[in-house]
Amino acid sequence: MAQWAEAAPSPAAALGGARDDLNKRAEFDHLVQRYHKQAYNIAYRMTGNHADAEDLTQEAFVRAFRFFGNYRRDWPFDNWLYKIMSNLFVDDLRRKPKARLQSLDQPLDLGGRGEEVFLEIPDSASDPARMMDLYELDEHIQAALNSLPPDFRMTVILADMEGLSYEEISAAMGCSLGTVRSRLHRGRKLLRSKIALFQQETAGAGPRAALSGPAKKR
Amino acid sequence: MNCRQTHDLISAYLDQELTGQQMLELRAHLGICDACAREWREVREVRRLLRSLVPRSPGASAQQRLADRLDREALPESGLAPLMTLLLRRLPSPRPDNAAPEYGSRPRGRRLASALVLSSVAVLAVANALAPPTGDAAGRVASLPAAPGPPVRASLGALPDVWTVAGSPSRWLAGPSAPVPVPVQQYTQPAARSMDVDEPLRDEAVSGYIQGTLAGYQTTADGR
Repeated sequence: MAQWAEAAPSPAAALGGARDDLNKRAEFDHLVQRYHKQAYNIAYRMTGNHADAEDLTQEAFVRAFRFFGNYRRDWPFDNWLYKIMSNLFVDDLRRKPKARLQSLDQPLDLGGRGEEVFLEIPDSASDPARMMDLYELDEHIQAALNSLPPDFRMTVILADMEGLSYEEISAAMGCSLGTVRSRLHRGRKLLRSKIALFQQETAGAGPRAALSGPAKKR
Repeated sequence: MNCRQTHDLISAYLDQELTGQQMLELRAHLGICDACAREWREVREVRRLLRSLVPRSPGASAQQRLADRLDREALPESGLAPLMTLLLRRLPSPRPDNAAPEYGSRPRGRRLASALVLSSVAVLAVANALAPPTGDAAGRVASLPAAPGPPVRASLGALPDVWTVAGSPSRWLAGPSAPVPVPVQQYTQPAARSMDVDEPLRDEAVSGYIQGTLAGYQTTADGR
């Protein structure tokens, strides 16, 4: 009996354990404070709407909290969070039967027009008269992002909106540097074609969209 | 370097993610190949557009909803420790100084919480004293599966792979006793890099094309 009593945690020890958990929660709350807005912006660009963005952000933080004991403190928390968010997003798409997924091995589908369409995006600083309305442009870019395969989309977002290096993206997405390089370049090219198509549909061949054929490669 | 070899390298060139030799070779190619120079301009424009997007912000109550969810997350599997944690959160000490007051702060019921904490500790102590021995107190923690991580990168190390431990038991009692400072990065919009990959090429062919384009824009902007 005395031995059993010795194995039992004292009230002070139990309270200390709870206090440790409390400290972890406080530490995590601090990280939520720091990164919530940033994570939400990425989630919005990934999902394209506020409701799904909040769900994705919340789920990513909850997963991070659940496995916070595994988190390596020498790694930036946001990169770890992006990895969770990326996996959640891709897994969620896979569960949706109607979701359109594109294999990395497949050629990019530009609707048969992408290679023929090029857009001279107006420079707002030098030509305000041709500048597209910012809201409309944002919508076009978001629609173009939505059309990208999820891995391409996440790569472009992390590189061009969050400014991560290729090595950081490689670690966050669990792929090679070469894959990051390929996805990013193909993603940007596909985005450009899609934006051009959306603008063309909106404004026809009006002054906002200056379309021309591709130059011949050597 | 030919057009086939430049495949996928143009974005890396813009992002300064190539070796010095690759940068030089690609720059030379862009100076003589209209198609690749055009692709370089187009990719650069897309990158500029993406960087110019205004960040989207969550709703005002989104963080509170997250805090509520984290509170619920602590409850299901772990017995009294998370319960005590939740109750202790109502006590005044642990909130970081720079935390916004609206996130997770609920001053209601602190006295009740304190009483419940003390009574919970007493119940826990009595229950454990009466229970049969379960062996090494640390055995349960030590038996938890370690998270296998991906191969360690030379300079960055490996991110913990949370997906490999998705089915593991709760880690409420398994974490380090003292929190380790977490490296945080200030969130700022990525600034455009200043290397001359964003500048007009010095090669005459491309440079001439760009200058002509800029002159056209200038003429239009001036109304002439």
